[in-house]
Amino acid sequence: MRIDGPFPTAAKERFGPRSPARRIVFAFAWVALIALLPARLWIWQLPSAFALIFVTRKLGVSFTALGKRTLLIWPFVGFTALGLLGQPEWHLRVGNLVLKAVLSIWILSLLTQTTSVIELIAGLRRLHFPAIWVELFAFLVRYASVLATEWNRMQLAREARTFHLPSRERWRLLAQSLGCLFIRAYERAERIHQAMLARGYR
Amino acid sequence: MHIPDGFLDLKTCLGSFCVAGAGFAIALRKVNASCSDKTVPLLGVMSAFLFAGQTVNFPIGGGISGHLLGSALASIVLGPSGAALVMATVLFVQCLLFQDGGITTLAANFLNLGLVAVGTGSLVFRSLSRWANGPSSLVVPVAVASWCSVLAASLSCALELAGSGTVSLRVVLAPMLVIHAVIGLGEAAITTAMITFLVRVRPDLIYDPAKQLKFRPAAAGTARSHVLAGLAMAVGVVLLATPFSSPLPDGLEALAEKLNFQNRARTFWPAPLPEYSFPGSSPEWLSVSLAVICGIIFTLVLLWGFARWLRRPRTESHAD
Repeated sequence: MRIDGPFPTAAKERFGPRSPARRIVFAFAWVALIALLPARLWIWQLPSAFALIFVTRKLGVSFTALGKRTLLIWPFVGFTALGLLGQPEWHLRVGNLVLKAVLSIWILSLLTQTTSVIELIAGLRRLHFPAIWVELFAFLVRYASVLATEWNRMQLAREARTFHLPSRERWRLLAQSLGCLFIRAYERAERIHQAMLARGYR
Repeated sequence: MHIPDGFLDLKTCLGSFCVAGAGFAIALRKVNASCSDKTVPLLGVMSAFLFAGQTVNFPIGGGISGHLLGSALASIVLGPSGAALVMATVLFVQCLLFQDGGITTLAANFLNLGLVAVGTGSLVFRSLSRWANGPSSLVVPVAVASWCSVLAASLSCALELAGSGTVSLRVVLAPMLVIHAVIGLGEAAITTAMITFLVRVRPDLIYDPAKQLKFRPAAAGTARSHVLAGLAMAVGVVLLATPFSSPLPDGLEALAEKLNFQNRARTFWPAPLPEYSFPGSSPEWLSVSLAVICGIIFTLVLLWGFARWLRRPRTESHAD
């Protein structure tokens, strides 16, 4: 997935607060409300769920795309559910965990579907997150895909030299290529620093 | 090991936000204390590297593959405070843009993977590498440090899950530790191969404050910020530890019960907060936590007064 630049947004129209800072605060507060509601009051999650269905329809975001975003939690949910099996009220507790996790992920996906990374960074600055942290966030978003491309290029170049990965040494060679990528990343950081200095940074 | 939203309750979230916030502030202060303006691009690209490195899958065998977690690697290469900032950034991006881990559990995840894993890795590596002399003798310290870091993170994750009542500690602890003991072996193998390669090729990139200062040691902060960080940490630890407080009597009380002299105990004045609970009809964890926090603040005030008294200006007093 490309994470540099604005997201390939699926939203047909803007909906909700205009300013990214407000949108971030709104989404985080909603997630906190859902995640911290006691398990006994699970019925009160239903208004959130209906509101989310309405917002999703209004924005024109596809439900399958949202479903794919939840894939990462299922191993964790399964692990916890196995631990809960046989406990009193286990179906209520497991169902509650799944409901909370899915609804929270739904909200955060809607946030990233409607707000580009540039807007997110502006919003975080506006909310007075620690300045160095926001800068690191921006750097990560900018350079993660660059380094991923570099990794693919290194692998491709190695295959082009008709290199064959022996299966026994495989992980060691992979780790060494990762070390190579680390050195390239470090040198890139130095180059970026010089470029920033040349443009009058600090 | 990224805990999703909804798996932790209010007190664990608040407690982890206090501890993680204090730890994050200390790491931020240490990194900011370095006068180098190279810090931001270096840590930024390093967090991008860690993010990209976590997507590289390593074949373990039998069609299963694992990937790098990177806490120990970051702490060895960037030093503990830089590594904590990098892990915080990576976790934030994973939670916000990829929905891996939650917003309310962000602090807990940062506590596990950023503070506990980085701290353990860095401590173990530093104490073991004292005897290392040469690139190949770094193998054992790096391997042990990365294995321990994964295990410590999983232990703290299990404690958080149990502390918020999601699963009982008895059920979750053993599987969690066993699974992560295996994952830690892979982590140790990858990290060791990477670090030995780096030491051979670019030994100047390993964080080594004794010889080459990438980040200068932290400038002394103001007393107020130290007190605030300490207070936040104490409050967080109280909130996190409340569910593990034992209802059983402590040693002295047990002895008193055995010897049957507790009836002889007399109170000279009524205790302000009997049995560590705050008066009022609030949930148990809140009342216990409030009582302990009051105790902490009371002790701090006493200590502060004592310190003021110790540091009073000494004037020569002439007896008359």
